[in-house]
Amino acid sequence: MNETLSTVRGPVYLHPLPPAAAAAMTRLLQIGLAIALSILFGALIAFGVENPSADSSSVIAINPIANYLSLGGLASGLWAGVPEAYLTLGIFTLLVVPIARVLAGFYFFHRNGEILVARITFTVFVLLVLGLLVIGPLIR
Amino acid sequence: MTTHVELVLFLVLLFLIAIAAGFIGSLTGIGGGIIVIPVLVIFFQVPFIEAVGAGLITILANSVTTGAAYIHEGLTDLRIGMVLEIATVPGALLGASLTILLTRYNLTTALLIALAIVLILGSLSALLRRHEEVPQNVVPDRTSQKLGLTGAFRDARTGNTIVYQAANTNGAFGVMFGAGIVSGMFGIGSGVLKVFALDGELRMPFKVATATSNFMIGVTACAGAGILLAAGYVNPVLAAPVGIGSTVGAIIGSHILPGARTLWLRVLFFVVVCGLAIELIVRALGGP
Repeated sequence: MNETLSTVRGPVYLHPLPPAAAAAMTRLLQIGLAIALSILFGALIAFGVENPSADSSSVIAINPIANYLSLGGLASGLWAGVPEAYLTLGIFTLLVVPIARVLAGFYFFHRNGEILVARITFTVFVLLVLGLLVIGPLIR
Repeated sequence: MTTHVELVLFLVLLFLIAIAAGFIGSLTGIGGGIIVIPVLVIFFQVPFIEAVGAGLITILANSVTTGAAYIHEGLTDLRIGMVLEIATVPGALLGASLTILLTRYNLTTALLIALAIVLILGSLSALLRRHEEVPQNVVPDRTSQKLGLTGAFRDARTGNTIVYQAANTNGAFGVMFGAGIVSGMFGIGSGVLKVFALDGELRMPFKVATATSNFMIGVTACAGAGILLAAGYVNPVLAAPVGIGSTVGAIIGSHILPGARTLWLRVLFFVVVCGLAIELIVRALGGP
């Protein structure tokens, strides 16, 4: 027979997020992942087709990312149809998925009236954006 | 062999290795980077810092995949996971910055040896870890009560619903900060430390701890990968097959976890990772 068991000595007061929050986060992760992987997969095939003279040594020795780290560089690479630019876009998209999930968490905690947890989540969001847009470029 | 065929074989090999890493990572809650990074360094002579970048992309893809599956199955504790990210993210930002600076000061040998030690300790902890599937008589602390760190899940194996509340929250914050540093420095998920914080410190049920660890690994990896990417240390041609393969492996693993017993897998994992760690030390010290 199925039972309800507690790990805690004493009562536990549950206040879960609404089921819509879990459903929305699941959908967000699935859609973000699908978009990122589609871009990466397509770009990887294009890279193989457009670089018949490339081999594993050249792929390891030459990191093309520096050309696409600025918005202008990435945009012109995408416009010119360069596979490496699309690979970089796929990596960026993959990176944005957890950041969007943190932002969604902030929204749901805030809407649920849990201000302290919402503030913690928003701080995490700010730290992630700082790392990507400020600390990383500063170190470069 | 033509260069084109060699390139395709190389990318397919990376893809297959990442499938294995993603599968093991999602089943054990450890993350796939612990396999991908030494393999890239040892067998493909990828520079350490770029292997770390690829490792972070592996665990990021792994975590997003399993995160979606485990939230859907009700195994992940969203509240506890998101609250503890306030400790792992600063740790990962610090760790990734440290790795870049140490590499620039030509301390890669020290980093490789440190990575090998982390791999051995991590796999040993995963092997020897004794955990309670469902802890008993937990006494929640004040922080846990203030933040409402409670939850419930239905155990697919027994059919029972388990209600729980976290204990020793401040201790868990400390362990999570350390996990963030290790993750950012070495490109691994630090799942061992995260699971330890969740099941050893907070005393959450083990399956929830494993699923919540997987969920958190993505945001921790995102912090480290963001710095390495913006600093130019993620090679997208290497990271793409690794990210795609890791996702495929994680999807397979996440379908198996709810009813799985993972002891055999942890033994195999221990043997493989220890072998890789020893080879890393030999290479770092200038061996064949």
